[in-house]
Amino acid sequence: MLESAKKVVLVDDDLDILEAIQAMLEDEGYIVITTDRGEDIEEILRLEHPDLIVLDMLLSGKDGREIAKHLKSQESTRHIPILMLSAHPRAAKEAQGFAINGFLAKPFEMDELLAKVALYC
Amino acid sequence: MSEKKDLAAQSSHDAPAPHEKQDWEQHINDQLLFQANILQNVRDGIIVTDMQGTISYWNTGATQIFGYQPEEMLGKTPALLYPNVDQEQMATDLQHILAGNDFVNHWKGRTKNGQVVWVDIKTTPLYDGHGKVIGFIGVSRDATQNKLAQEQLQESENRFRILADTSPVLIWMADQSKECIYFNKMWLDFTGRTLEHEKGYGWAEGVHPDDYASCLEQYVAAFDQHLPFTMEYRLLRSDGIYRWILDTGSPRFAPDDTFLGYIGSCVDITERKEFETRKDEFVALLSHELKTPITSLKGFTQILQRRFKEHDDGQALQFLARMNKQLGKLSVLINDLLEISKMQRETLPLHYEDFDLKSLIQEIVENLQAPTLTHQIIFESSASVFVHADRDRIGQVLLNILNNAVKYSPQADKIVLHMTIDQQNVTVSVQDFGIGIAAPHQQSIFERFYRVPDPIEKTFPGLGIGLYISREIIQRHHGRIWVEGEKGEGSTFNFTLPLSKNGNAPFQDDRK
Repeated sequence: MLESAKKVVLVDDDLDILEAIQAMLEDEGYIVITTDRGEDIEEILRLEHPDLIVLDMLLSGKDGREIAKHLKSQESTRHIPILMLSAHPRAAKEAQGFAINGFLAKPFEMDELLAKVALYC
Repeated sequence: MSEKKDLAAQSSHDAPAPHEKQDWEQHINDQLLFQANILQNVRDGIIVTDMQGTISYWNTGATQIFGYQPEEMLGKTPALLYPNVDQEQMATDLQHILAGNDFVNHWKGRTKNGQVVWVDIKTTPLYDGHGKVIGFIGVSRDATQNKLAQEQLQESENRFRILADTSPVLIWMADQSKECIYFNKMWLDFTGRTLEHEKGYGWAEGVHPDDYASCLEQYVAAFDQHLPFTMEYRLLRSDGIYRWILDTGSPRFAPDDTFLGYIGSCVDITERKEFETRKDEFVALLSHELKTPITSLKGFTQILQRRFKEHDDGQALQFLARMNKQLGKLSVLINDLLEISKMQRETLPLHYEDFDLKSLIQEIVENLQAPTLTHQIIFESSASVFVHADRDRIGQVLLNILNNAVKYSPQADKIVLHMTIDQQNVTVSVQDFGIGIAAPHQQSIFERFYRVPDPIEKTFPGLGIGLYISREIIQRHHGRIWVEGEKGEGSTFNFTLPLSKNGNAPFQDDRK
């Protein structure tokens, strides 16, 4: 299992959501690295090579949209799929303007999240 | 006519002379009487003066206008009748008449009982048999009614100008050719331009470039059909700032229904727009803040559901399923709140497509018809019916009506769904056998936040916006939504949609 375990980096500034999603994914056998600070993502990516980044759009501090834009502009990180999450009503529409790979509106059903994650991993 | 001719013939020198003196005198007397009668019976006032202006003749017409009897006026001067007319001017006018010119004027006179009378007057010299001027003949006609009508018109015009120029709204007027002919002071103050600049299509130069095309398009379209219109656009204010304007135009018609053009009024709605934007931002933020805890609650609940499934704890699973369902309801409520905020700003976007309404209904009925549903939904469909509409939004309306039908008929066990078409429209009807709606509430239930004020209905939860949203959606599709039925006897909710111009088989009456 260990060799084939997929790695997901999860960024959300709401600690409860962070923990809930982490538990969901870990129950499914994913390795999950979490952070509630968007600023930490580059440091994490220097050490880890995730199969997917699950990124909240409206982060306090460094905004999810800026992070996505930056990661997609970098040679070293461009290939990593990004699944964006948001509870903001206009987020789905706004997300279309970014070079992200998928979008999921909060709140979501666990099955929806798992299906999306499985799509990219 | 013939009388006049006879008179002319008889008074001429060629007239055959009577043979006897008595007959001749009689004839002259008859003639004089006849002429005097004519003068007396003319409706116009005839007043004759001598060279000094002393009145020597006054007919019945003059009495009718001024109220004085002849005996009251003979020997007096016309100055008594026209106290406001400058006497020196009158003397000058007489010189003018003596020079052989006709004198025509419009004088303000005064009747015997002091009332104002407006008189159209024509004065000519009176000659004796030798061509010498011996006085003046004044023919006067009462023009008071005309003058009053004219004054009223003037007054009405003045009233309009005062109203228009002191009103806090921007007012414009256009003629039949679509060109603007008038702007009130407020408009000119607002744009800082002159009437000459704004006239015609000059006003459109101040319209924001992004709004220009749609603004003119709406203006011209309404104009061509003589229909009232309202439109919003940004207009350049004198300080160089664009302000949002709500412009309401109404066609103008003459009493004989001739189209005269338009009159429009505009108000600055920039602050309202800004407030609406702030409110929408607030609601969006609020919903974000509300959804965030729901997300984690839902997440944890579903993780627990999965874990309890492994332990096979039936009751715990049931409780968790109910928690999850309640969280789902909360999400729906938050979405409703957002929807309503969006709808007020008319930003509800519709994504039109041609689709089969029958298959949409079938889909929704199948989804709703879970084993746990207490009601059976009966939908007997026939052929496909294509409509050009937003499929998701129409689905939302159907789901809303069906959910209501279930919710408000707790004692019943079925819901009947019909679809009928005519040449232009398809009508969808959803009949339930529940508590029904009393007639006075049948209109109001489609209004925002309306809840039937009845102790029984109050026990049903909800915000009272589902039907409002449904009505908005149907109306934006140029359809109609209404309810039939009586209290205690169930309700039938109906809505119509225009048929798609493509894809429908020739008209068949399904109601047979």
